[in-house]
Amino acid sequence: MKIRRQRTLVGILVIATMAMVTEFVAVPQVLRIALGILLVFFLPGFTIMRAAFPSRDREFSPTELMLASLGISLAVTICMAVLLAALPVGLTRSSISIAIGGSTAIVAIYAWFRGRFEASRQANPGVKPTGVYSRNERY
Amino acid sequence: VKVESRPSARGEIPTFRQAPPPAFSRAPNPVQRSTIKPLLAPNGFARKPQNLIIHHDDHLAETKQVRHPATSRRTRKLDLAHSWIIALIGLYTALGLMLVEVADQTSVRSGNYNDAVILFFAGLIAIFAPVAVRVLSRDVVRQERFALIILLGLALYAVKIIGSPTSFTFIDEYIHLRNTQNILDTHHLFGLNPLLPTAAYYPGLGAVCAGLIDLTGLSPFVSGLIVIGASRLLITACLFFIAERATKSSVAAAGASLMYAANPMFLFWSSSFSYEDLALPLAAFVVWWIARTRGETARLVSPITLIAIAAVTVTHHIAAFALTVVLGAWWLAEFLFRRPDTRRREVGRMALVIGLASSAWFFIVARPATSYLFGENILPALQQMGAVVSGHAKPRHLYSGGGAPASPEWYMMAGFAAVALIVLALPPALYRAWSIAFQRQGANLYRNRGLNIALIIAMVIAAAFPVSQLPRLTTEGGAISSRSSEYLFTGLGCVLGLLAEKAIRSRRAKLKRMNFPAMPWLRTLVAASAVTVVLIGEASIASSYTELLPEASNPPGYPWMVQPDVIRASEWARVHLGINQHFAVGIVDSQALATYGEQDTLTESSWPIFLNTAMNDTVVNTIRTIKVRYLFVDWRMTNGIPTNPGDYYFSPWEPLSGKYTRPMPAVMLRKFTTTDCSRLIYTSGPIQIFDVTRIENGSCIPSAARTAHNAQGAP
Repeated sequence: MKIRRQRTLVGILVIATMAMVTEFVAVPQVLRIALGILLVFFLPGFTIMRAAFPSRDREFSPTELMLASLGISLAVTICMAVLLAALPVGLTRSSISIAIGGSTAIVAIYAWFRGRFEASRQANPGVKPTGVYSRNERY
Repeated sequence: VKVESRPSARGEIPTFRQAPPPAFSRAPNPVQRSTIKPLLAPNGFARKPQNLIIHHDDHLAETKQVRHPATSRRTRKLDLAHSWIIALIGLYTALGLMLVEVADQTSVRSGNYNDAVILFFAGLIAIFAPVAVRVLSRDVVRQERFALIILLGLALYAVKIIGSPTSFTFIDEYIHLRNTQNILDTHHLFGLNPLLPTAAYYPGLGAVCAGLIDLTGLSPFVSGLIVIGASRLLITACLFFIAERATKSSVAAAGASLMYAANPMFLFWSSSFSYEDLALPLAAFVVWWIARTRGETARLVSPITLIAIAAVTVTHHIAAFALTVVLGAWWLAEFLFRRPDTRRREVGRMALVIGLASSAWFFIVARPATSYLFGENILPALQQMGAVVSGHAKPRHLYSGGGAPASPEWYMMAGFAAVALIVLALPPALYRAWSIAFQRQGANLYRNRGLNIALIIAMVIAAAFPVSQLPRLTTEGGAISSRSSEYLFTGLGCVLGLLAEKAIRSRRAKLKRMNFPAMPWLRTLVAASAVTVVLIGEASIASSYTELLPEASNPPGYPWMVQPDVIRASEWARVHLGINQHFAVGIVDSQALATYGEQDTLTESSWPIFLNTAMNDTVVNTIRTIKVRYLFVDWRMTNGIPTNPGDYYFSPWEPLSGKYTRPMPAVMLRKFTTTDCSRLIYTSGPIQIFDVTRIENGSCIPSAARTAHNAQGAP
């Protein structure tokens, strides 16, 4: 189950990267539409949900998870689009794809590490996974 | 070991713990026993209360713990067993949509309009009634109810799309199409929106739509449909979940969703490409998200809430204020009825954030919004209402507009019946909600569950419904009354949903004592019929009879929808005159000219140019004052009186606004063809464009003595 969740995050990372790349490379319109719709209505929210609840996904039913993904994605896209349009860079095809795709990829990486940490913590409650330290042990 | 529901220490959802058997306990039946879960999960952790929802609607047990829906084997079996019913309802939905399509086509092709309206309502009933009957039936699982409610929401959205399948047609859609075009053209915010300057300062919808267009390459129309479709999905699902948390019953939640779908704005207005139709679903999402994640320790929960609140703030003013009120009321209710705890403070913090953010945006960023909202909408309606209540003014005759033909009797009666049904059902519904919210239910069903804050808020919202109908008695207040229903029907749905749940719940023992057959299906049928009547009646309230279906191309009178020749002329103007030219134009044609033509349309201040019989000083001064360079003349104004909301050609401040009994005299338009100072640069059918740049810059002064009586050359 946990491996599947981690693979999902890798898949999201790939899709987000593809969505960014397709803005600079000619691809079939159908692919562009599919990636764009995913990027606006689903991926940001789904990734944030995975990052927020790395090991407690069973608390949200699949329906609730889809609903939260849709709502969060819409909210994130609105905020990003308005922010870009308010900045000198402007709301353009490249800026919006990099902003949403890039942030989704970053959150996916963060969620992947959080998921890995949670998995290790649950498997070995007393042992810290390699490379992951608690806040107090950092200093 | 018995399982007993106890009020949660942290919220409305009860927790479960071991308890001694109560005095009134009885042996659970086999099915009930099999569905009770152990209190500890297989991994040894206590089950989270969020996973446990009490289903009172199942006839097999009054109170039981149900496993997570997705993992319940029993639920899956029920789903499969009833899949043919879902398929049948899907067929009815398809049939209903076909009837709606036939009705719309009949209207567009100038067929028998009365027959088309009957077909339209038959289609609506075919879509709505089977879903209503099914979700209000007793032996239906929660997932099926939820799926059918989602199907209903999307099917009613499809009704709107069928009515305008190729382009936007509502006035608000043109406003936000212009916003989107501005962002696409300039890549920045706050571009001038001549149709509604306030809308430019709430760019959430335009920005997300422009982003989708950039990412996908789709047209603004298709992108807008997708965005609003996603919003429709969001609000339908969120309202179901919110109502379920408030009422603790999926039957009541389904009833609440049905009632919300019956609100007068849901069919057309809430499906249009308008900023409120994105902001309201987001506001509903914020409420659901806060309720759903209360007590969560995840650090990202609050930032997610803040992002959603920011999205609501930059998308729509009223939705943001409504969210402030709801969260504030939530905090206040918990403050008054409960001990303070961290979760109450979290709601209070969020209420404060949305209150401050929406106020700051409204008063500092979106400055035109103040005069638009208060000066043009709320205050005039309040003044008129005060005059009506104090007897200084006569109330408006319902279902009457200045120029619109009279509606049929049955159309009016449907509206009155809908309001009467709601008003009659409201007192018992409020009483039942009160009983549940304050634990006065005699049975063990709701005992020991603590105060239901969500239900108390829903009751307060629902109680405002009769008051919200008063502005309908004024000419200015009708829109406010209709628009408020989008908010009021949330609470109204919850309390009426509880009443429906009570009505269809089995009371076999009591009925047997009265020698009355149980017939639970009859009660379901009555409840479903009542809510269907409300749907039909509220639809009749929302739209005037003649504007229920799409208008035919080139109608005999003055059209209330943008016509294809106007769109062609607008596109010609964009190509040959450039964008952002100052045009004087009528209110209906301005929508196409501002979007397809991307021109700066002047409607409200330009009426003296058109409503004069000669090119006199008033006309010349108006042209110079508002710097009009082109006149967009639609000769159909001389064929019929205006039937748009407000019943005016150009502006609500024109002398005969709302009082037209005859069409505009042709002499008023013919004057433009006679003066040497104007130049005809475009003509196609009834559409003409005149260049009056020379009058505007003062290089040519028309002779005021030349009246239009001697004019020639009108088409």
